[in-house]
Amino acid sequence: MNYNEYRLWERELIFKQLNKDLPEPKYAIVWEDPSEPDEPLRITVPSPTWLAMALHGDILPPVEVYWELKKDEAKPDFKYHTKGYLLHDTPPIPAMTEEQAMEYLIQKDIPPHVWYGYNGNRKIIKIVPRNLIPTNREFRNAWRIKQDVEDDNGTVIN
Amino acid sequence: MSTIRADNFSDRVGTKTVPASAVTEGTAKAWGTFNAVTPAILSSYNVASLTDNGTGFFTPNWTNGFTSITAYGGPVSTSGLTSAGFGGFTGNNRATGSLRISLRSGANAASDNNQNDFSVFGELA
Repeated sequence: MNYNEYRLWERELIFKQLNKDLPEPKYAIVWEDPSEPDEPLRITVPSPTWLAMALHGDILPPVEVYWELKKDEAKPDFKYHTKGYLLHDTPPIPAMTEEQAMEYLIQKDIPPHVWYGYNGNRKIIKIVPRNLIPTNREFRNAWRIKQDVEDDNGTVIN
Repeated sequence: MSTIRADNFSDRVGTKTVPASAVTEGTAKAWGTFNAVTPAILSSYNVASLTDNGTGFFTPNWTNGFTSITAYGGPVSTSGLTSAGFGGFTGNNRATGSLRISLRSGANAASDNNQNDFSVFGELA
């Protein structure tokens, strides 16, 4: 199947028809927004369909396409996108590993000031196995990333 | 792939007609169903990821975004294991690549409910 012939939203429709049983994502991204220090920890999980397309390859556009659209949207006179064709016409990227897909998702869906250029002394973003995320939602709004203390070799000592 | 180009669609006898634009405009361009407790996306179309922002606030992020910030939206429904609450897309935190959902219990408290469904209409970029 040459997904490149179709627009991005059409590719997912075709992919879903051809792939019914999709595995559950193994990882999630936990992150704190330094511009909103009082807000709780965020958790970003991929959709099984999106992740399967990322692992398949040749479907999703390079993440730079989303950056370009966000740049346009940030302009004060923005009304509507005129560069939507980039989503469909830019050659799609090859298959990724699940770790690479999570890094792609960080750059696509998490604000840049969280993962780029942060100079604070806290760890504010981590990719974690989903089974480590508590399902007891008590005190959810107080959740923060645990700050490991590491020695000079990077070994956690706390 | 083939494309049907038409001005209108009609039933077999031609007594009921809708313009083609009603079909293209009235078709959901993204939808999802998710568990806010785990959190996990159970099924979706055109949703790359879901962000849990805290109790009762979630942001689906689209794979294929929309053309304009204001020209799209849709319904949200939410329920716990035994009772329904209410939800909707918020007026702030709107972008062509994502919208924020607010989930409330029947008693109007921010709530992480088990079954949440949304669909979105508008023009894709």
